[in-house]
Amino acid sequence: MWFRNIFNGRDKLIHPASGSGHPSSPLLSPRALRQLNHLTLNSGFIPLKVPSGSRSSSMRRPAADFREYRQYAPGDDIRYVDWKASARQEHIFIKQGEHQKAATVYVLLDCSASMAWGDPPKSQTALALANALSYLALAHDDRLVILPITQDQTKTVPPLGPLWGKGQVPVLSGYFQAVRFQGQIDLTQTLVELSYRKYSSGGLVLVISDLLGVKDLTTGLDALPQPSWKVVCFQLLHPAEINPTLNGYFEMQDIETGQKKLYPVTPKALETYRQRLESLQKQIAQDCLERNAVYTLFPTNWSIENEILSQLRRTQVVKPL
Amino acid sequence: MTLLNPFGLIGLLSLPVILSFHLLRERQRRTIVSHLKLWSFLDSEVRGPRARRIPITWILLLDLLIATLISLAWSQPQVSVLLPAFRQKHLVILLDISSSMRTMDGPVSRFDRAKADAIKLMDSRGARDPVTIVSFGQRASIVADSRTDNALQLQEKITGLKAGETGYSLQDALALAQSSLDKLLPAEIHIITDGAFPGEELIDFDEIAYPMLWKMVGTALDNQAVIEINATQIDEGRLQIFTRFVNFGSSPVSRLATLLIDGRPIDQNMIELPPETSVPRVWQTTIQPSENPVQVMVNLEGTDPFREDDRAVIGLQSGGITQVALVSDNPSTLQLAILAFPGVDLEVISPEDYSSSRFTPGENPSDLTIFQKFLPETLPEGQVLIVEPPTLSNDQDNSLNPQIASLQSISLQEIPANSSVEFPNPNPLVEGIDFNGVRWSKAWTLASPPTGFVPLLRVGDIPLVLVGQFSPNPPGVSRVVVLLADLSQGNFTKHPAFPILMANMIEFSRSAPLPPRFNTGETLLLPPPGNYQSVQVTPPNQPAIVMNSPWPSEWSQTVEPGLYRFSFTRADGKIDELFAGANTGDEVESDIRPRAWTQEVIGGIPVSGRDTVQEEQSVDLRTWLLGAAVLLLLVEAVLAWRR
Repeated sequence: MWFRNIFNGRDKLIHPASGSGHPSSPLLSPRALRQLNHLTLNSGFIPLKVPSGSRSSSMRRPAADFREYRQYAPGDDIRYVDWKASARQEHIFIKQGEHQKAATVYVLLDCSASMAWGDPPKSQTALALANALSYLALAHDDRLVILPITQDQTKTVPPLGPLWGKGQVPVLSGYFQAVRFQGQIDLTQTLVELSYRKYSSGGLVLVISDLLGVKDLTTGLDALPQPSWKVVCFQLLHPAEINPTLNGYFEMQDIETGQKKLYPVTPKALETYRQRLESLQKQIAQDCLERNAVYTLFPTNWSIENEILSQLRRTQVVKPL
Repeated sequence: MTLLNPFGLIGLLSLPVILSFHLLRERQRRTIVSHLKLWSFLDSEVRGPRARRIPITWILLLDLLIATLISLAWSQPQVSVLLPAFRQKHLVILLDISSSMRTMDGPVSRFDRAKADAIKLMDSRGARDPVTIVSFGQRASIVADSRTDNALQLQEKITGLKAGETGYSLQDALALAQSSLDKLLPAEIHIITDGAFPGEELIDFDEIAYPMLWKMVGTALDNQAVIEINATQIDEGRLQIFTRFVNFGSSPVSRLATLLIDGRPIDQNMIELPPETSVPRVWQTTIQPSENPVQVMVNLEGTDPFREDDRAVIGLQSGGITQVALVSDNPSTLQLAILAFPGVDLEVISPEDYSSSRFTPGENPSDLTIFQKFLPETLPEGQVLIVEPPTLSNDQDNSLNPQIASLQSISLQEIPANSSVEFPNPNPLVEGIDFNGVRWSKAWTLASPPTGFVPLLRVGDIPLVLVGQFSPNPPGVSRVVVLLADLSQGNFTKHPAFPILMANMIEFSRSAPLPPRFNTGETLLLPPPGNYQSVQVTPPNQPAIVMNSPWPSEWSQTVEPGLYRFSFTRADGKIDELFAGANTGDEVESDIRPRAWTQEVIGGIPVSGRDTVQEEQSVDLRTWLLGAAVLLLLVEAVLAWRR
């Protein structure tokens, strides 16, 4: 009835944001931790730059840690000549060993207000994912840098890292609990700035964002070229964003800008919305593919231990030990 | 389109109110989105300032439509459209309510089937076709008419009809039907009957200007009946009962006949009834005076399709009792003549008693009051006989009413011998009386005969019997007969003409005697209530009906066969009871086989079809609009529920 519709849900906000921007606990469940202990970040994705890591490098050099022989070439350090083996052959052989290197993993966490949208908010899944990925990095002696992406650094926590070693894992939960999601971000600018970062000569960049406010992602991706950099974009979307169920006239307010507009939401408009969102996703995926970056979509109703880790394994971002 | 109530359009003012409600509601619905840019494609959908934006939703459209429909319905719109319609015609249904219709023809009676056919016919007519229901039996009457009764009343009146009248007044019914027709419309006369009457004698089809459609409800069935009963008291304590049995069938039948007096079986005889034959039977029985029976019934044992005519009943106490008051000092001559007449209750009063307190003016408990050689101050109401009017003294003359005083005699006049009697004014009182041989001797001469009094009997110029009435004579009229002959002389009182004249006087006083037997459906004339305060009628197997004075002069609720008891209560509480037997058996009605003429009428007249014509009809849209509004309301409820 018209009167029922008029007075039904007065002053009711449809799909409200969590409001405070304060996330719930980003702690991983014991089950998720058990699964993570059997996984590692895919080394094929990771440009190895930092020495003294735990990852095997494809680079061979004369070393005491024998891996294979090769014929001597002029200029080789004669200290690595295997004289005994050379005596048994007609050639001189150089002993070559494996060079262990570490990776630098950058976790870029979108801390804009839009990540606090939804019930439960998208930030909850974002923090859990960031925590899981950070755990994987620390568990395998990679250098971990966590960069909260924000317009105003004073409104959230400062970047964390570099960290390495599993002993730093307890730091993560406290850090992520302090993260606040407010304002707007410029992801492209963040990616460009990352490439200029001092001492940063490459690494694995894990971008956790809804990617909805990104203006020029290609510029950012171009700033982090292969093979020094490997970018993985995780797009987190709330189910209500993917498939909204509004109907009728609504005064819509942007959670980031506060801008308001009155829109008639009809079934046709909803269909157009879904098509536009799908088109946006395809564009981001295409941009990532063209720049050898990885793109994957996580609806925020997915859990770490079930759908998200499976998806990470499918996209080969992680692999079993 | 015409609006019968244009003010109903005021309801359209609700449209802006509904719009306002919706705008208010839209203002109250807001939501926060993560990125407004995703919805920016809707910018093109929204134009103009927000205040002018109308949120076009299904709910809003439905609300506006519903409000519009209700407002229009309120204004009672009517449109004139050309619609195919059945040509209007007047339907007259003639329903046979004669007693033969009570025959059980299969599981139901013919009359039940006829009523069902009548209702079916009535229901199948066009919505605007007038229908008139006419019943015919003993008499024809209009039972119901759609121009005065609604459909429910029509059906109730048909359902409430009872068959049982002995007679077949089809001719009257047809005349009544034609007179009741709407002359502007074509008409059809439907006759629903069992055809058990001589229709060929009644119906001249050429005289009927309308199509007659017959519906026969009876089949050929054999029947036996008691069609006649009579009871005569042949001498003191002996009763002779005459009955006639008839077999209306094609095969001989033996039926056991039982004679009952007051319900007590007296005799039983097996009656052999050859086909198509009537058989008389006479019983003689002795009745003790103390028994005082009231009815004799003859019953044919066993069953046939028409049970009501298997018995006949006759009342033994009927006709009534005439109360006669004789005011005279020397009543012997008149008393002897009056008491010779049966059914007379004579009371002799002396003139002194009458003048003192016995009677009050204007109140007369007697049917006939006879004043002999006496004139009262006021004449009683009803029949009055003044015999030998007296000569008054001067004191009496002055004290009396001038009209009454005019009745006094002044002298005795000699009547010439061998003079012939003349009847100057024909009157039943003296008609048929043979006055030959009467030697009159003398006659009293009135001083001045009252105005309006005329002689009924005259010898030469000398009137012997005058008749007239005093009016006004509150509270009623006194019908006065003056017998001027000198009874003390001559041989008139010894001549048979004298008791016959007195008997005629008593018969005059006795109005509408009830018959001992009558056919069901006949109308009985009830005695006027002058001498009675109330009458109680007890039909057979039905509760008594009490009617206080004045009651109708006729009693027509006589369709049930059996003994009818009429109890008349006088002012002094005395009750006169009369009994009359209503019988169904009749030579015509008991022959329940459809007559030959029915074969000619069935199918002989084409059944008229229902012609359709294009008629401009005014269609009231109110119901449709309200129906559409309710439908849309349901749709909106479903939409609102799904949201």
